[in-house]
This record gives sequence, structure tokens and C-alpha cells, in this order.
Amino acid sequence: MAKWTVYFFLEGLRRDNAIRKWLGEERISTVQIAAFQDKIDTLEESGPEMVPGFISGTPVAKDIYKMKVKGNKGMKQLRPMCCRGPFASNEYTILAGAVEKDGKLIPKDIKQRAADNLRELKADPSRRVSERLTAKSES
Amino acid sequence: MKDLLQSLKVEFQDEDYRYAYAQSFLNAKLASQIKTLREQRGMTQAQVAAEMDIKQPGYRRFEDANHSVWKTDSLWNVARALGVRLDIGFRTFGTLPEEKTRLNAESLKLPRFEDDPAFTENTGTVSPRMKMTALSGLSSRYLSYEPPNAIGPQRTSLPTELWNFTFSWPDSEGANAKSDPGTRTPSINPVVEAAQPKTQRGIHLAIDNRRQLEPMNQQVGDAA
Repeated sequence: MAKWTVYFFLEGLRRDNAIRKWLGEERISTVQIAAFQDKIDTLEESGPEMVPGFISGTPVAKDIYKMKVKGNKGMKQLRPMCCRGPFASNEYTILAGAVEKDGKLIPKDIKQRAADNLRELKADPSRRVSERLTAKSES
Repeated sequence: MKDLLQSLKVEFQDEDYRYAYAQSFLNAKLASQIKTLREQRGMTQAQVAAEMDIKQPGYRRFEDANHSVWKTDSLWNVARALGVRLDIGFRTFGTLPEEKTRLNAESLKLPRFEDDPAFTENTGTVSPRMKMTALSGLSSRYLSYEPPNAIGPQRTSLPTELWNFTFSWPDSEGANAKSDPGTRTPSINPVVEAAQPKTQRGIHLAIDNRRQLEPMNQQVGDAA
């Protein structure tokens, strides 16, 4: 049984997996999705210490941390935003997707979006799901 | 692991996916082991970098799960700085899920050459558990201890990790003094070797490969 659980925020009225939706919109390659899923799996199986550098040591905003999935040359640099918990200490919730270009996060308001999603999640704990990035959409 | 295996059975049908996944895992595992070994030795990034004759920012990338360009020459330099050897091999994809589920800091720890059970005395009677822990340290002085399931006291080095263990030994009055310096509690019972006085004040613990010699008196005194 996994010691850690990684959740994805469910956004909007349709409660779409915000990260899977973002990966699709950004046309993120299979190769990067695989690297992202591997890091999530290792985090779930072995904890954050076994993926050093995956989650930033310092928050980018209050309770918001930056995840880092490096892309090779020509690929996007994925920087999803996550929080620890927020309901248990052995879980992370990925709140919103972002990329980094020239040292700047895109979209610009990503920290605010992530904070808003975290607030929404705290008000409604059902707004998250634990599933594979490659899971088939129900809709 | 069953769930992970089931998921990977489907996802790995895509060749690009399975190679990217495996490569990402290798990067993370290497970075984790380098970090774990450095911490096991009580060294800072700057100290390892100095051993490798590079700057700390240049070394830092070796401890980043996202680092993906590994040169064997550089890895050999890391290995030398950490007192271990480099091993590179090929594996089937089928072994990956189990390898992933077994990954943890303890499984990545290794003794330096100086503490390698294969090249130190009394290796034959030290239990496997002790090889994993007690022999992995960096000590210039020796304590003997009695590992569980071993016959007679063993003479070996006392690792840095013991700072975090609970251990006890007979003091001069024959009573057990007990230290409780940390939260990790695999209990072992070191017995001071005959050449040392059987008092807590006779014990010194060297850490950091002879760079520092830390007296244990204070720890012991506090606990006792």
C-alpha cells in the first residue's frame, strides 16, 4: 500500500482534473507525461525524499509549492503548483498547472490560481481525485 | 505494487512512455542515492564538491531528480568522493515496479571502503542487519558491541547513525546506562572493548571520517 497519496484538484462545474486538462491544453508530450507520472509514483511509493528537487523546498506563495519536471531542449518546463495535504500530512494535492519560460511562470497569475483552488478545496474536500495522468476521461 | 503494475502494464505499451518513465526513475534513484550517501557520511554538499574538486553549485545537480545528463566520469568522481564504486547495468522493464516500491533511504545506504564488511575484520559473524547499519560509519575509534543473533562481542566501527539509536552498556557500577538521543530506535547493546574502561567516560565517537572527534560524554551523561 502506498504511504503517500497525490491528488489532483477538480475544477469547474464539470469537476475536470485540472492537471490532466492542462496537460492536454498545453499539448504536453507523452515523454514528459511519463516523467511526471514516474515522479508522482515514486513520491507515492517512497516519499518526497526519494525524488529530491521535484518539489521546491520553499513555498512560492503561502502553502503553495512548485513541482519541477524538466523537459529536454525544445520541450516545455513543467511547473505544476501543489500543496502539502491539506487534509493529511502524507499527501500532496496538485492544484494548478504552469510552465516556466525564461525564469517566469506562465500563466502569470498561477500563484493566485493555485491559492484560490486550495481555498476551494479546503471548503469542499471532494474537489480532488487520485488517479493516473493517463486515466481515461469519464466524460 | 499490484495497482502500480496494473497501470504500468497498460502505459508501458507505448515505447516512448516506458523509456521516458524508466529514465526518469533512474535519474531520481541516482540523485536520491547520492544525497542519501552524502547525508549518511555527515558531509555537506560543499565538502563532497571539494573532494571532487568542483564548486558546490556544480555538485548540486547530482542531487536533483531532474538531472538527466550523467557522465560516467563524473559519476566515478562522485563515487570516489563517497567511498563507493559505480555499477552500471541493464534491466528488464518488469523489474521496475518492484524496484520502485522497495526504494527508500535505508536501501540506498552503503558503507565506505574503509568500513566495507568484506574488507574489515570479524566480518563473518556480524549479522546482515549490522552490516547495513553499524558498519556503515566513519570512525577512527572502535567500540565492540554484541549484535543480535551473533556469538560474542564484535569489534567494529561505530557509525554516525548511532547518534540516533538507543543503546546501552554496563557502567562502572554494573548498571545499564542508556542513551536516547533520537527517534530511530533499533536497539543495540555496545559493550566497551576490554582495552577501554567500562565507563561511559571512556567512550568517544568519531564522526565525519576522522575530521572531527566528538566525545560522547555529554550525550551519555545527559541520558544517564
